[in-house]
Parts: sequence; C-alpha cells; structure tokens
Amino acid sequence: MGLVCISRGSYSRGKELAESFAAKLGWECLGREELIERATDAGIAVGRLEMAVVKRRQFSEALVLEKEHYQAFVTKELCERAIRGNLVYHGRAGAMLLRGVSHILRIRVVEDLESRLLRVSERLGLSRDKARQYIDELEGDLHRWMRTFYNIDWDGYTNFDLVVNLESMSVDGVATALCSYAQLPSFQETPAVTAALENHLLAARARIALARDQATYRVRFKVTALNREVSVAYEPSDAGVAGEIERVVRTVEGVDAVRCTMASTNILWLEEQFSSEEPAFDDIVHVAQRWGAGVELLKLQAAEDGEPGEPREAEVRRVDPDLGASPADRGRQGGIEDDSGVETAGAGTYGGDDLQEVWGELARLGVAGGARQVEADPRELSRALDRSTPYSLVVVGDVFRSKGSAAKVRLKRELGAQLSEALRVPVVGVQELRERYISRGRELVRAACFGIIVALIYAAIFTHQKEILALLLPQTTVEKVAAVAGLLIFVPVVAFLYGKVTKTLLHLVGIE
Amino acid sequence: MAELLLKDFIVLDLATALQVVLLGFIGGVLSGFIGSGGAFFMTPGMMNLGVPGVIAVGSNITHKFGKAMVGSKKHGELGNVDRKLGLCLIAVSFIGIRIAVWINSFLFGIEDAHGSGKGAAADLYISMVFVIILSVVGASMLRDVLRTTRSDQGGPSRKLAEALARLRLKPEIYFPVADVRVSVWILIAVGLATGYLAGTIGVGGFIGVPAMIYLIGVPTAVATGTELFLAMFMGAFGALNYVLEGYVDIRLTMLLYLGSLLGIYIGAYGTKVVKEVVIRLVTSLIILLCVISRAIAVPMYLRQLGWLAIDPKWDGFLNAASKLMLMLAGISGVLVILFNVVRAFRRQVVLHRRLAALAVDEDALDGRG
Repeated sequence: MGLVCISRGSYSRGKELAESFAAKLGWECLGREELIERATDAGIAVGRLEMAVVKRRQFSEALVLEKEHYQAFVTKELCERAIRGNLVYHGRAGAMLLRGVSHILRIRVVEDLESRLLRVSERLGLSRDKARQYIDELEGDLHRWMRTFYNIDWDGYTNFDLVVNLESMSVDGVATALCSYAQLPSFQETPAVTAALENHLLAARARIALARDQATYRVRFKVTALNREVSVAYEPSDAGVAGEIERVVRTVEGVDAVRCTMASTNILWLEEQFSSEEPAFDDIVHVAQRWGAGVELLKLQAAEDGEPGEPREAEVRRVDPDLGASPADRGRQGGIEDDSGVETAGAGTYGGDDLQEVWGELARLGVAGGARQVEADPRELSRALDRSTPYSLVVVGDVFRSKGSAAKVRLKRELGAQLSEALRVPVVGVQELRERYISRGRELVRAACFGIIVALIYAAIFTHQKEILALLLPQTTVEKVAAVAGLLIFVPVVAFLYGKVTKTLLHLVGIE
Repeated sequence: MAELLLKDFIVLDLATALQVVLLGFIGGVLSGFIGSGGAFFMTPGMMNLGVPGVIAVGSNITHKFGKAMVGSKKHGELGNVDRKLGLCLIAVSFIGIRIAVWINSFLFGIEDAHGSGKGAAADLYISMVFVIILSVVGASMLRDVLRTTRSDQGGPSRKLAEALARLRLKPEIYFPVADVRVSVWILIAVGLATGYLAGTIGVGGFIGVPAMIYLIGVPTAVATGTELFLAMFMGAFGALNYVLEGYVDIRLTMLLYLGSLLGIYIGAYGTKVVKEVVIRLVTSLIILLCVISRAIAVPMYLRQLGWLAIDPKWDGFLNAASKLMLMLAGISGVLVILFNVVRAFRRQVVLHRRLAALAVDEDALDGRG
C-alpha cells in the first residue's frame, strides 16, 4: 500500500506530473475529474457544491449535507484504492480528508505565473489580461474551496511534505526525483497506517449509508470508527432519527458495534494514558453532559525516534466491542497488535487498551465523540487535528510524561497556545477544567457577591429616580461630560455583573 | 401619553416596570435565538407603554451597548471580528448616528398648531422607518426560507457583491480577516445606512449584517462578529448623543437588562436544539408581526399631528391593538422557542437517565457493580 496525493493549482502541470510519476512507479493514477464523475454517478450533486463555492453562496443545510456526503465518498474511494494497492491521486487536497494518517506523501505543485499565463493564453486563446483575470478567479475559487471544505489556507505550505516548483524543471525529471522520495521509510506501509485507513474507510462507508437512507439522509452526523466500532454523533435537534442510526450503520460490512451520541458540540481530550478511574474522567463527563457535548479522545504516543516530526496515526489494539463480555474475554481479543511493532503503553482494565476502555465508558454514558491514537511529538499535534470539527473546549491531560516537571509545565503551556491558535477554542488543563467549569463553590460565591452589588445598584436607582434622572439632563459642559462618562462606565459594569449572575443561575439548572 | 415624572421621563409604576422587564426578556430570548439585538421588539414595546419614541430608542441603544460589548468579546475570541473593517464602518456610522439623532430630536420638538402633539412627529417618523425597513427584511427572510425549503438551494447570493467589486470604484481597501477588497464608497454607504438606522430605530444589525454579506461579500460568521464589534461602538456613540440631548432613561435600560440578559442565554440555548430553517422561519414571522403592530399605531400619530381626522378615542383602541399584536408576536415566538428548549432539555435528561441505568445493568453483568 502506498498513497501519494498531489495538490495542483490551475494550469500548473500537476496532472502531467502525477501521470508521469504514477507511470514510473507502476502505480494506479486517479484524477479529481474521474472522482467527480464517479461521485456524480453516485448521485452526489458535486456541480451544485462547485457553483456554491464559485458564486460565494452561503451553504444551506442541504448543501452542507451534500458536502459531507461528497467528503465521505472521496475518503472511501481513496482508502479503498490505497488499501487495495498503490495510488497516486491528483486533485485539490484529498490528503486533508485523511488527516493524522502518516506515510501519505503529500505534494503541492506550483509554477510561476508567466508560464501559466502563457499556457492559458495558448489553450483558451485569451489575451494576457484576460488570462490573468481567469487565473485569479480560478485561484480565488480554489482558496474558497479549501477554506469551505477543509478549513485550511491553500497557501499554507506546512500542509504538505513537499512543494515542487516546476518553473525551471522538467516534469519527467521531477517525477524521477519523486520516485526516490517515495521510497523513503517515512512513506512506507505499516500495519498502523493500514489500520488507520481502515478506520477512515469504515467511517466513510457508514456516513455514506446514512446519507443514502430515507430516514437519515436529511441529518448531519459526525462519524468516526475505531477497530470496527462506529461512533455516530448527531445534534439534539435531530434526536427523532436516533433510533434509525444503528439500523442503517449495521448494514455496512465490517461494522461490529455502533455507538450513538447526541451532541451539539465536541470536547477534545488529550492524554498519553487514559483511565476512567481518574478524577479527570468524571470531570470531563460532567462537563460534556451539561453541555450536550461528545468527548473525542486523542491519545498521544511519543514518536519512536523521539524527534519532532509529522504526526502519524498509530494503531490501536483491537478489543471486543461487546460491552457485555467479561474483562477477561476482552483481554483475549487479538486484532493486529502483534504485527504493529507499536507498543500500547500501560495496562488498562481491558487487555491493556486504555483508549478503547475509556471510549467504551464514554459511550455507555452517551458522550462518546470518537477516539484516535496519534504517534507524534505533541508539539506537532495541531497538524493532525481535524479543523472542520466544531470543538468547544480542549482538555490537555497528563502529557509530556517523560519530561521533568518544569519542562512539562512549559511544554504544556506551549502546546495549549498552539492548540488555541489552531482551533480558536479555550484550551485548559485538568485542574483548570475543574476550577473554571466544575467548582461550583467559588462560582456561587462570586455570583452571590455580584448579585448583592446589582441589587444595591437597582435599589439605589429606583429609590432615587428623580435625582438619578436629573443627572441625565445635563445643562453645563461639566455636567454633560460627567453624565456621558458615568453612563458609559456604569452601563457595561451592570451588564457584566448581572450577566454573570444570570449565567451562574442558568448553569445551576443545566442550561448553558 | 403616560404621566411624566420629570421632563419627558414617564412615571414607572410596578405594572409598567414589570412589563418593561417582560419586554426585555422576550427581546433577549429573541435576540439570543435570532442573533439580532432584539430592538425591533423592545423599542415599539416601550412606545406602547407610553414611553416617547425618542426616549425608547435612546434607552434601548444604551442597553444594546453593554450587551454588544460582551458578544463582541466572544466573537473576537473565535476570530470572527474584522477589526479593520469594523473601524472603517464605525468612523462613517458615527455620522449616520449623528444625523439620526438630529432628525429625531428635531421632530420630537414639533408641536401642532394648538401646541399639542409633542413627540408625535418623531413617533410617526420612527414608526414609518421601522415599518419600511423591517417589512423588507422580514419579507426577504421569509422568501429565503420558502425558497430553501422548496428547492434546497444555497444561501444568499454574492452576485451583487461581485457586481460592485467589478466596478472597481477606487480607492479600495483590503480586509484580511474577511478576505475582501472593498471600495471606500461602498463602505461609506453601508456605514452611513447602518449608523442612521441604529440611531433612528435602534436596529443596526438587520441592515449591517445583510449589507456586509450582500454588498461587501463578507462571510456570514465574520459579518455577525464584526457587526457586534460595530454595535458596541455605535451603541456607545448613540448613548452618548442621546444622553447629551437628555433622552436616556436609565431606569428603562436597567429594567431591560433584568429580562434580556436572562432571555439571551435561553435563546442561545434554543439555537442548539432547533433546526436552522425553523429559526429563520420563526424570526421572519416575528419581524413581520412586529411590523404590523407598528403599522397599526401610525393612524394615531397622524391624528395627533392633525393630519388625519379621526375620533381621539380611537387612540386608545389603536394603541391597545398595536400592543396586543406586538405581545402576540413576541410571546408566540418565545413560546415556540421555550417549547423546543424544554423539550430538548427533557429529552437529554431522559437519555442520560436511560444510559445511566444501562451502565448499571452492564456493570452488574460484568460483576463490577
């Protein structure tokens, strides 16, 4: 199994390069055009998606569903072909659908503007100005597509392993050089990569099945898979179809168990070692249940070489998804762990697989939002994250365990800043989670203090109405300045204080 | 006109105060649910209680300022605020607000030939602007909902924004967060319109957000975040202007907060549990009912100005009908939202109970219980 994804701009000879490269390697070559044709044959309105992006339309619910269906279809096609043999794919950013899967060689092809202008002028018979305008529009469409579909910046070169500029190199020469590159150990097949691709494939197949069933096709789902178990999250407004999800997903070949979660948002929880016995587990479940959120687990495993590098999706050992089975039975389940060469650290309750055990517990409590294990330096983690998932909170647990305490604090702080920048959501540690989102005592005391201040302010206003209103009828300049300054300071302060009081009161009854 | 306590400020008895709190609550729920400021409900609601229009607008714009400050901070954390665009629009919108305050103040002082009817001209003017603008907004939104339901087509078209961009009216400014290049002339037009409407009827977002999306081509999330950023400054500037003229009743602002800050959280929770198409449908219907409510009051102001010959006893009837229609719009909208919120909340509680029971059963089977 080998997979190379080439992202090509408009008129930059990316297709030519992909075909030459695939021919030299003797691999299958798949282009975006063929993929679109297959998707259209499968009933996906790719044309409508393209038009919505080109016309800069806001996506309606129906188009968002069509987008999810299309992404699942592309994921399925890429995974199937990659697992079956070797594949060179050339298109826009197919590799972004397989985020976190290592050993995919991701190449971006660029070329200087002059050569591209010349090519457009020749092929389409356009003047230089018109050709320039045409390329600008195409590039604009590509940028919007990347932003809409993958939430990435098309010019963000860190999304690729290699950026090839064909300005002064021949396609044949570059293809030959790339062949050597593809032989590097970093891009060779491993059981962990195959397992990760199988997880993506199963999730994509389940998502497609849901998109094609009459009962569920109008609903948005977040589908993930882990060792033949499929986790489906749906929003509270779609609770009516909850009973149909398992029926539909069970029809997909290879699905052993289905876990459904009603969640309107997601909490990402990072650990090097998960345990449902730790207080952090109860805290996170508590917050997730209050928020109606799904908890996505991300187990970090330090890269084998200990050097910072590209995040790789490591294999997770298979355990029996049947929750009724005894722990001893679960421990006997084999899977492919013997082939992996990747050790799963620690010994959890179920055959040493702490990730699967905690995932199972979360599913039983109705807050499972997926689970992954990534072999990477945590500092490189943001590159493995799915930017299109709407997270509300990231909880960073006990990571950098091998480091000293001072280094640990510093690295965790840096990781928090990096994740906050990448996902634009609050990133907290376990302790901070408890203090900010759980500890009711301090929150209640503060709200009570604010409540008293607010009550005094209101009492003062309504017992001295005439005097207060007189202050707001300024005559002299000094009075006017005082009235304006007083109002502009006083009003936001009251809004803030009373806002905190109402927020706390609603938290208490579970509305937030 | 209600009894006055001081200059143009009305006497607030307990019943009136509670009605203002209720207006704030309904406006807050609608605001959290729809994403607008809720002024389209609160301003006419206060006018129905006998508050002079200009004071209703002044007090509401002051109330809006504090709320926008909190909302803008949250959007800023999510990267949805284009500060450069916001600051450009703010600079122009201040002129729009100033024009609006000047017109309102001027009209407020007009009396008829008999020296009565003070404030009726401003009330009529505010009501007419309200009816015209919100009719267009409500009808467009309803049409959008029906079109989406029928044909599954995408959201707002960017044709107008692209046509304007093609005109290349120089000079242009590039806004990195929104990723758009816009002519300064279009910015001036949008800023003036937004400021003028915020200053006239306390409703800025209904114009600012669609204008940013349709005319400038800003992504929806950025348009909403930037509008809140704008609303914070416009609210502050509007409040400043109205307080200088003596038209801010701080008691009304405080009473509105009592209801609105509670309602806004409930409304926002509603958006998590109600489908988007339902949100837009409810919003458009509420807006259109509010428009009808305000239109009913127009003959009353015309009579007060001596422009329409109807019996003065109709004033009470028209005011009551207008008030009833507004309350009907607000309360029915809020009931729909609350019904969904409670249903979703109960469903979640039942689900967690069921899962907890299942977990206990499984633990017992595993011998772990």
